[in-house]
Amino acid sequence: MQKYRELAEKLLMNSEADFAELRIEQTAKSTVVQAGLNHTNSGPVEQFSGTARVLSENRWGIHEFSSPDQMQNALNLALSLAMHTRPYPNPLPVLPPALRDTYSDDSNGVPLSDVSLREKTFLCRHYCDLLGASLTSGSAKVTYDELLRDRVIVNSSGTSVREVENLGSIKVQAVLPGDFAASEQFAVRGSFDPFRGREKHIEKMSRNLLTRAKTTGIAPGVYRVILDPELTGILIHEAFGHLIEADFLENNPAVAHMLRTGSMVGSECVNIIDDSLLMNHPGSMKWDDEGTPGARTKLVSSGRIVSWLHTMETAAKYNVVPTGNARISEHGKPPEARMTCTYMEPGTTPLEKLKLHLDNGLYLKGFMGGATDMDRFSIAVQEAWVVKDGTIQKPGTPVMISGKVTDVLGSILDTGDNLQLTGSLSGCSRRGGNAIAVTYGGPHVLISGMQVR
Amino acid sequence: MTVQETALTGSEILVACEKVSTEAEVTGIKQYYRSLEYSPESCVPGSGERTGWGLRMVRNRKLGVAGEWGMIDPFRLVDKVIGSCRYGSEAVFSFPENSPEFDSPPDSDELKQMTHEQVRNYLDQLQKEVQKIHPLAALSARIKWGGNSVFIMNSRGLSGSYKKTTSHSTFSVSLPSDNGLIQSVYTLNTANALPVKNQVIDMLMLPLQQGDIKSAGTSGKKNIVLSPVAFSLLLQAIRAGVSGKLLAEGASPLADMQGKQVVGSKLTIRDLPGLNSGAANAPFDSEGIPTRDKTLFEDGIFTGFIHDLESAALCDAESTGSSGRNLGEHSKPVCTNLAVDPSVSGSVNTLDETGSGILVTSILSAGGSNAASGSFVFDCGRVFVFRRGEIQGYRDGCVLYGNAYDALSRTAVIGSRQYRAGTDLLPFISIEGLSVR
Repeated sequence: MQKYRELAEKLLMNSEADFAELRIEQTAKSTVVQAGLNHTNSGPVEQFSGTARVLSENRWGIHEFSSPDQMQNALNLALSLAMHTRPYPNPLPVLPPALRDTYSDDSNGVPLSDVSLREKTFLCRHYCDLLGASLTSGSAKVTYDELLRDRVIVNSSGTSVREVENLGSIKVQAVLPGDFAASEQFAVRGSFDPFRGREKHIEKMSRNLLTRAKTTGIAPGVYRVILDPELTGILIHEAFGHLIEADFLENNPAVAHMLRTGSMVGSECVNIIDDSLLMNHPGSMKWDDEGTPGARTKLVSSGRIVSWLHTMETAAKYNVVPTGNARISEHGKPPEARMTCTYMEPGTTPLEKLKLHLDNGLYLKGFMGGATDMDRFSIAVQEAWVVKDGTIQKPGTPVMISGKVTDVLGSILDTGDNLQLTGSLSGCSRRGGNAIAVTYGGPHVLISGMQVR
Repeated sequence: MTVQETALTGSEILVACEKVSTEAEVTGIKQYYRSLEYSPESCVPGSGERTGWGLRMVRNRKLGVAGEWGMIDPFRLVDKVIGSCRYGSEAVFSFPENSPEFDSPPDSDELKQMTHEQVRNYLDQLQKEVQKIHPLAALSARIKWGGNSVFIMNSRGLSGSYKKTTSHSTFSVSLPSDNGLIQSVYTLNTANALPVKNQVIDMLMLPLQQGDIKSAGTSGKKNIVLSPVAFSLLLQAIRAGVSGKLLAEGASPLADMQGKQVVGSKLTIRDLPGLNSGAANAPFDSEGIPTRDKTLFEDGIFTGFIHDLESAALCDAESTGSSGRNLGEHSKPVCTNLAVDPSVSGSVNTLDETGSGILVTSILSAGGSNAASGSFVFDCGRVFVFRRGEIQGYRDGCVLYGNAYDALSRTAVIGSRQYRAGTDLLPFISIEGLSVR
């Protein structure tokens, strides 16, 4: 990639456009699946791809290419597209500082790419056997996904950055008769080591699943609940995070007004961060897809909005500094303002003390799926436990929680003292685009009223 | 990539495989496209092209796959597949050897020649139409159109290629309302140029209807009308259930159901790789087997599974030309354009015939559903309560649950017009007594 980077730098020095950018990357994706006794592996699928983006007289043009020898042509085509577009009032984006730097995950220990397919295959089989052996009926499945990426962003303002990423995830799934399912996903960036030695997690998961198979129905209604860190993270990501992506807000002035800086969106104990520099997590980025350095951005402080998530372009429109959140879900598309590692900050209350506030409530754990419809959310919860007088009593059937995000954030009574982050290689998609890697999390949170169905 | 160039590279890869494999198969694809990202605040034209190669090989009776997009190195690709074969599954079939003549799906000249300016004008007009209905509504869209050249050849002598042109459109409208913000998204893929505006408006504006909120009376067993977009999600269970792979794994709920009544007698469901202007059209599948239109359920009776070569070998059946896969991935049987026959008379949205019930226009999430068994839990977000065929108001939040086969067996009414939903072509459908909470 180094020689392609140097070629890109040379081409952009001569650009006649107001601003020009080349983003090139090489990726390798592989998957190993062990489902019961059946084993399949796919890939690696290797890809070289690039995007040329050009701004000329306030008009953008984009061209995707798939070979380094097409870079000059791609810049010309993007410029031509820009020049033949009717203009929009786009201000010149806030450009990142001129910078030439490289970051590689190799510095984080033994990278995923150095571990053999044999070991990855063995590990999937081992975990699948372990889970399968504990199930008297039903099926077990383990999936290992890997994405190795070498990414270069060069622009005409003097930015040239390169980031080498190793992303991997293991998903363990079990299904019992009656559609009782449990899954646990674990994703990392950098080293393979965290995937080893997860036997205790799997044993715990199977014990838990067998207990939950004897469930009682939970009547729909509004309950006082505790969300586990994964659900807290999902709530923050799905229900709140997408709403403060500045490219969404610029097209929705009514929402932008509602979520303007300083507006109250949660209770006093709600503090939300987007931190792209948590480099062991799959959502992280040393530089975003426009070359802006990654950052820790406080989004909500004591319940009030402090910042939105910005690209160079939205930052210019709102006269603020880019937050390093420009991400491309597929080549040939403009960068979007997207989350990286987003979480709620922990408080000081241990889980056991939070439970004491549940006279007759629910402890909700694990995420099975969810979506948002503007400021409303809907999340399918994997485990619902009935809690009476502060003590967990019995497992309930899986439930769905829903509501309006500001109502729910406003009804958070307290936050736990434990911060846990969960990641996924394909955890976030928007408007039908390809999914991107993200991390989300938080502490346990106590909520005074949640609609449960 | 001309056919000659493709054949040359494909032959190079096959030659490189000769001494290391029993059988090998090369697939190639070249994509070129134009796109327009459109929103109230910006309009960005785009274009692009990319080329990819996939290689599948049998070595020591094990099946391996790998793929490359962009810069192709035949020897590197072969090396990767050798590695994949080492831990691959057992090869239970042979690649096909005959090589029939294949015709490309008919191309739309209008689509091939469509310019960014035409698309922008179309979206400007659509935005005006939307704002005539709701002045505060904001339209965003991404339209991507272009061509694919697809090529396959294997070591047993098969070779084939075709070209097709398609368009992929995603529209979204957001709107502030008395009860917060509401949004509607509609996606359709076709081989036509720009979609008919009236149909897009119908699908986009349906979920944005206003009215009094009905907060009670939506639990229990209800008559449910699903819009084509919502119906498409329910059909995920059918897509999974008819797969020969699921049958081979012993997990299909349709095992032993061939020739039996499975869904309502008013339902005829087809898989149409030759659908007029279908986006998923193809003359042959990803293993080079000719495709054909298939009726999956005729008047509710299940007529048979779809197979690729592997599932056919495992089930002692023939491939139905239903193999689908991305480059570098293993094949699996897949449906192409799913179509449900409309009724010959009656209303478009079936509300009149249904009388009273709940209209579901979109499904927010399907977490907890199991496409293999057919069980589903759909959170529908905003639903509409109707009486005597008239919408009375909406309710925010409604969960539908049950089993897709059971639900479809209680089909009461089918709408009289088909709409595109993704690659599907579906009418409205009315189902009796679906569980709602």
